[in-house]
Amino acid sequence: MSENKSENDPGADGTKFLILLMVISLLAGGLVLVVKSDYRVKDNLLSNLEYYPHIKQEKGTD
Amino acid sequence: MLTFILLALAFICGMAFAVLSGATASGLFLLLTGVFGLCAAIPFWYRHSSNLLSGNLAAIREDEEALPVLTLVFLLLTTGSFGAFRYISELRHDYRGHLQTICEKHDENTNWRIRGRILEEPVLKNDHLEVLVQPETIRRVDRKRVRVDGGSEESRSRKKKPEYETVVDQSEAEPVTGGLILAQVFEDTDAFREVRFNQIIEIDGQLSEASERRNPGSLDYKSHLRNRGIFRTVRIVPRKASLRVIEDVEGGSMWYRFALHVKTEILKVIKQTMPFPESSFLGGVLLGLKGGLPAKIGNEFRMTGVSHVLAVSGLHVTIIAGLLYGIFAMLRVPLRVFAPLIVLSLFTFALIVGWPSSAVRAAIMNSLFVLSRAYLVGLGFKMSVLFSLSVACIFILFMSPLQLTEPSFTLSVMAIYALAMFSEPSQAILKRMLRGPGLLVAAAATFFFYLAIIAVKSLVLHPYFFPLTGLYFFVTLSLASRLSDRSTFQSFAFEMLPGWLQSFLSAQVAILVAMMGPLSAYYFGQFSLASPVANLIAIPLIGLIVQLGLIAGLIGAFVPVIGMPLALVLNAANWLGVKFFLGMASFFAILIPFPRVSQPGFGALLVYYLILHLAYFYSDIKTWVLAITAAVSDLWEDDEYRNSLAALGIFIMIGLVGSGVFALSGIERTPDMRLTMLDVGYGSSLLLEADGRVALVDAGLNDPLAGSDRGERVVQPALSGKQAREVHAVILSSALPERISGLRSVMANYRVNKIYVPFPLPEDGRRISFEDYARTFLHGDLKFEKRLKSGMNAGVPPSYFWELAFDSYNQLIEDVYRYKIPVQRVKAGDKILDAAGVIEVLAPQATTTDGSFQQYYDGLILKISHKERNYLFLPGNAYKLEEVVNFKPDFIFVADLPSPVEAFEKFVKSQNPEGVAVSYRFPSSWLMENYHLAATITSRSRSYPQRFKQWPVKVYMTSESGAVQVDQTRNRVQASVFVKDQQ
Repeated sequence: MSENKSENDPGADGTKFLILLMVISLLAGGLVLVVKSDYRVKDNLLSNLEYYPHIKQEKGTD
Repeated sequence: MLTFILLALAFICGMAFAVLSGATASGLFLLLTGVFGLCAAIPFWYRHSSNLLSGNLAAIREDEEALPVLTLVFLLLTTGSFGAFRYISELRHDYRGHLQTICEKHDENTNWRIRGRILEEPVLKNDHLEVLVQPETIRRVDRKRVRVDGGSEESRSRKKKPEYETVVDQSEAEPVTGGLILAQVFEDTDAFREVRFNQIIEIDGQLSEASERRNPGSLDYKSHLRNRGIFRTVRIVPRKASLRVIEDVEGGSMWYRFALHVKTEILKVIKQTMPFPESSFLGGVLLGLKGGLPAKIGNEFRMTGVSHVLAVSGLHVTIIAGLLYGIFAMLRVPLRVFAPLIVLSLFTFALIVGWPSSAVRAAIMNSLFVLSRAYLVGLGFKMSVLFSLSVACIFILFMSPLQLTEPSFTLSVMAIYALAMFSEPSQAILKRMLRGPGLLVAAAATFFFYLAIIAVKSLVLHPYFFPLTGLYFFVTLSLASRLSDRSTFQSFAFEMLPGWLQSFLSAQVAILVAMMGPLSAYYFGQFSLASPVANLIAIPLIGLIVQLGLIAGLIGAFVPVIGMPLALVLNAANWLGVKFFLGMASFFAILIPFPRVSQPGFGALLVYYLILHLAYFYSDIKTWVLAITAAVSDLWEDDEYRNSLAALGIFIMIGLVGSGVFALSGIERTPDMRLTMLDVGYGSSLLLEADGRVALVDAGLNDPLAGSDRGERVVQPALSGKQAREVHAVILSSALPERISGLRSVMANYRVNKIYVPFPLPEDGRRISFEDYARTFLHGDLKFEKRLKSGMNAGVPPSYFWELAFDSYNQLIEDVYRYKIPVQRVKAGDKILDAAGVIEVLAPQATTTDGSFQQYYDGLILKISHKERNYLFLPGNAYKLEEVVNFKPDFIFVADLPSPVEAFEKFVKSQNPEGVAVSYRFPSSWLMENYHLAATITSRSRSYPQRFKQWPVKVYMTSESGAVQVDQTRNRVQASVFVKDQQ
């Protein structure tokens, strides 16, 4: 029954995939932030100083 | 649908005809469009006039033969002619007010003041921004230093120092009605941080025309820029040219400004949530920002065949369409409601990434699919890939006809064509061939193939590597197929894999055989052996990276408070994926070699596709051919149709014969011998071809500081373009870096059979010390060399040039050992018979007693002969000319500015050859820094070219003419150049 539903509605598979992707990403991302202490907005901005320098960061993120 | 696809094909064929024939008569094709259109209307009117007059259109629709065959034939001719007209009319730039027309009246030293508007968001390219400017007015500016008189008698009588001021004299502003300017704004200018889309700006500086194809097999940058509508470029660097922002205009298309706003906001999020260089990768794949990506990563992507992920191809648009579909489905929004939103989002994304043809093509195709699924599925309408591809092609080519010759457009279209046409048949073939023992044999053969090329990397240098690889896989697949057919029951088979994996693998095979393999060889002369393996990982991974990056970017940019922290967490996870992707590319780039392929011609490419279609669709094609033959036979029996059929047959025959004659006329007669002095900038490289052999005299400069390897950029494409599989002999005229350092990349990609040198070259692979080098090779740096002879430690190399010379020589020692290339030291009287033609060494006479080699005086002087013609190769030194040259050369090739020029002039005038080719361009500033001969080189490069122009013999400088090609055909010698004289 559920297989038939999935075949008729391709969006259902996409939804499941999207939810799974978000959950796994949040867990993995959280782990990276815990383990890697220099993975912070301030450090990222510093390492990106020369990458598209003409794009100004208006928000006071640091 | 089929009719539309045929008409689209005819439109493209018409354009292709215009490209291949070089036709310029747009009026003729417009006339033909009208005439054929009228011819198409007549049979249609004849059949449906009554229905048309009575307004009964339903009857026409219900008619089984609504479109008479003749109408269809003439419609095809109409669209074909219109395609040719559209292409030719787009090429026109000779009208008044066009940038090209205005600029070509003046030389390149003219100073211009241009007022214009920035047409799109500037693009970062390493150390500069590329700014596309639509000029509105242009004027010539002359700056003069004028002496200002003191004014009063008193000041003159006091004999004050004269005062000068700059007077700007400018012509009247001319309105510009066509042609764009590409301004390269370098980072050491103020404008670098100021320029934005839609600003009104003013440029002061000299405009230059992009270089056209300067060497065989190289890129025609001029044509590439013209296909984007760009006719002039300007380098904005301090003291040379300036760019001032006059006005920030808030207008412009609201949609475009919205797209730019989204792009900027997502870029800001990327910069905050991912460190460099991973951020540059995410910016590239998500926003089409290719700038900023380290060159090393770009090179690794090229080597592993995954560069397409940076091209923001259709893959990205399809991924985003899938993502949006998933989000809306999750929110339970009906398809009929969200379909237009998806369409709008896809075109906005295409706009965000810079509206490249690949993204536009994918946006059109995905939109057609979504819209047909939303609104037409109830009517029984099913969208076909080929139909949507035809719509996309027609749209893109109608809007920008010159895209037809752009590799990016062709690659994008052919990728979809390959997927649409060859995926399913590939899956069927794989299912049939890969079962039980057949699958085992195929897997083992593939495994051993990769194992072999990884273990013995030089295998790929074998002259017949690619033909033998093709044969190997053909035999393997035939064997696998037979084994699969014999076995009735299998416990493992390709078809037991999950459906999605089967489809994915089949799609990879389709892409490989119908797009990546042939087109990579045709356009780039390279084929990534790592590509089939790397893409198995890269394609699914890039799907995850793009989706996660987009979600993080949108949340970070537009969700207040929690947006940025959430984006940081998501992109931290994405960072793992990006890191893995970059690591994977680096791993495969090191592991699997990246060989050069002989670049096939257009004809060979067509034959390949013909064979491929026959192999894949043999039964379908056979059925069609039989059906058409039967139909024609039936019609031929009918007297009413016989005359029409005969006329059609004659028409087709004329077309075929005409095409054949046209194709044959384009085939160049192979000369008995061809000598090409390549334009390698500072340095030299002479390519010799005769009797199926290829030899190279010098290989240009590899300047690591400039990131420019002439061996890779010039020599290799030239060899690839000439379908050379190996280099039979390399002759190095001296050990100067501008002659030997380019050989490194050539040896890495081509088998070199033997190297001939006039200087000592150890074959044991051991580097020599700097002191030993400086004692062996004398560069004419008298102070330095005297210091060495007196026993003083040379210490640090005295300049970048010396350092480069020392390093190049040691690399040569290592490479000769690594590739096991035999080396022979030659001197006057030796003959080289295994190169192209017969080469006789005229100088140096013998080795010196102390074993030293004077780089500028002991270089090789060669007599190159083929049949009754003789050519002279000079390393630059003309001191010994009268002594050593005992024949009359038909053409002279000089590897440097000849010195002393008086001796050379006397020699040339006495021998009166048919021409002289001089390989020279002023070296880069860092190469000249602290270089002891800098002043001499500067003075010579200013005065010699002027002097050459006064000579009775034509002197071709590679700096002006590009590569100089000398053909010997039936004992006739004819010189031609790659860059035609502009005047």
